[in-house]
Order: sequence, then structure tokens, then C-alpha cells
Amino acid sequence: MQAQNAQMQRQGVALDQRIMMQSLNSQPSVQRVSIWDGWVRIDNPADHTAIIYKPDQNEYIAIDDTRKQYRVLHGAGAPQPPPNMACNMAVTVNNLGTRQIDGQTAHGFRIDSQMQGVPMTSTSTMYFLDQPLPAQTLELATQYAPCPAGSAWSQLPVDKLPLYQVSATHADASSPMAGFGVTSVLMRGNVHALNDADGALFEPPAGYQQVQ
Amino acid sequence: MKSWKAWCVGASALLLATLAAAQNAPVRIQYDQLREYLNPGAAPPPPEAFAQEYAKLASQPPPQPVSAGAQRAEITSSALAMAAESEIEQRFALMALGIAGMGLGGSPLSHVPVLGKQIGGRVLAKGSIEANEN
Repeated sequence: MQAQNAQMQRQGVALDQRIMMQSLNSQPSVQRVSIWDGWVRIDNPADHTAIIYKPDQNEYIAIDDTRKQYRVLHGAGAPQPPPNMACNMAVTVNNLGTRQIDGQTAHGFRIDSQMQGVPMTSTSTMYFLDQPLPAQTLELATQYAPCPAGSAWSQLPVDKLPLYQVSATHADASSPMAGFGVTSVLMRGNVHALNDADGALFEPPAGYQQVQ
Repeated sequence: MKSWKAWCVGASALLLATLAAAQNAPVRIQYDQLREYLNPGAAPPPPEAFAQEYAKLASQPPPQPVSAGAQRAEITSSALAMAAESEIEQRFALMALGIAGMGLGGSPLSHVPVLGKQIGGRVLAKGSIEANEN
């Protein structure tokens, strides 16, 4: 029975990884992110789904707009992430100054990085919104966690939301993977304040059926 | 001299209180975000091109919802297929995630989409709550 459970757990983890890889490889994607103090809602229009995170209540609400259903999850603790390869990279950071992006003031940086032990080089251009966010909110909104304090990445404004990020990663010419490369673009905009009426965004939609 | 010192202490306290309030101020904002992957050699859009890029991507028709039965079949076959793969392959997938996450997550300070992983297998397998009920 234990072996069977372990196998099911392995299958679940593997499926999680596959879903993650699929989501990373799906392209392109558009999402809407709403932040309400410590709560975060992420809408996926392509999937007709949304997730509301309420970490102070240890509660997550998953909404399926296709079937007009929602599910409330309680007690889902933070999982242990695998080692963060990016944190161990050697980086060079250059300040690009300030510019206006979609009506917002943003501070830019160019980051050149070399993976340790892997013949790959990455160059990123990032512009951060000039407004600090609480660490937990930022992590929920971006679904990424920061590197530990003291890493080379801490030269960047770790408490701010990147509005623009272009990262080009390619294998070094001398490596067996020479010729491999990928460029990803992440852009954020339409930034605006929510008002009191928008609080309803963080509750299950009226008329939707709750499923267990 | 004493009043000067008192003024300095008061001003410092006020400044610190203001900064602390700014750090803890409620944040209520909304924004849209898009992700794209470019072909090798393609020029990335400049930061100012958000509106055009968003309009282009948001206007693309979303995929048709997959039936619950088809989702169940896909999930089952995926689980069986993945169960047959070795741990090395799983580790490699995580490595790839780490590399991709560097460029995709909205932050280079990242490992994996933690909550995405947490939620992914439990609730929204490709967008369906129903698919997880069986």
C-alpha cells in the first residue's frame, strides 16, 4: 500500500512538472493580476480561469469561468522549492537609468550572467516599477520567490515589480549545445489603482457553484 | 543647541515613520502582463510597445474548452507516461525550469512558480476543476 502511495505521489509530482513545463512552453500568454493589500488574484483569459490567493487566511479560491464553478482550498502551505540555479549565477549589473513605460516611472538594469558549470550565457534587460511591494505580495503576483539575501541578484531592486524583461539565453559557441538559444519577453502595463468596488474581485463570483 | 538636537531627533523620527508607513501602505493595483517567446534573431519589442503587444495578444481567440472526458484521458495518459520516466529526466526538467524561470518569471530572482506548482496538480489541471474531481 505504501509503495502504491509512493508511486501515486511520484506520478502526481511528475504531472505537476509536466503541467508546469506546458505552461512555460505555452506561448504567448496574457494574464491580469489584481493586488488588494496582501491578496492577489491572477486571471488567465485563455483558460477562462482565475486564482485568488489569501495568504493571511491560508485560503485559495480557484475559479473556473467555463463551468461557472469555484473551489476553496484551505491549509495549503508553501512548498519547498528546488535549488534556484539563477541565484548561483555570476552576474554583472549595469544601471540603465529611468524611463517612462506605459505612463509609469521605471528604473532599468542590464544583467549579464554566466551559469556556473553550464556553458550558457544570458543577457537581460529589466525595468522595475518605481513602487515597492511587500515581499509576499510580490512573490504571489509573480509566482516566483527571491534569491537569498547576499546573492549577486540582490543588486537589483528585489522589492519591486519588473514592468519589462527581455532575457536572451544562449549556449556558448564552444559547447555541445552551440546554437541553442531562447529569448523570452515579459511585459506589464495597464497599471492602475483599484477602488473599493473592486473588492468583489477577491470573492467567489455571484451565481457560481462551489465544488468540493 | 538643545532645540536643534531635538529638531533633528524629531525630524528623523518623522522620516522613519513616513518610510515605514510607505513600506506598509496597502497596495491596491491591477495590471496586465504578457509573455512571449521569440524566434532566434527576432528583435524584442521595446518597453514602450506594451499597448501594441497587449492588443495583439489579447485579441487572439482563446482555445476552445476541452471536454472533461478528454481532459481526464489526457491527465491519465500523462500520469502513466510520466511515471515511466526516470528521476534523471525529472531532475533535468527542474533544471530547465530553473533556466527558463530566469527569463520568464518576471524576476531573475526566481526558482520555480511556487504557487503554480502548488495549485497546478490539485485544482486547475489545464483549467478544469471538474477534471480533478474524478
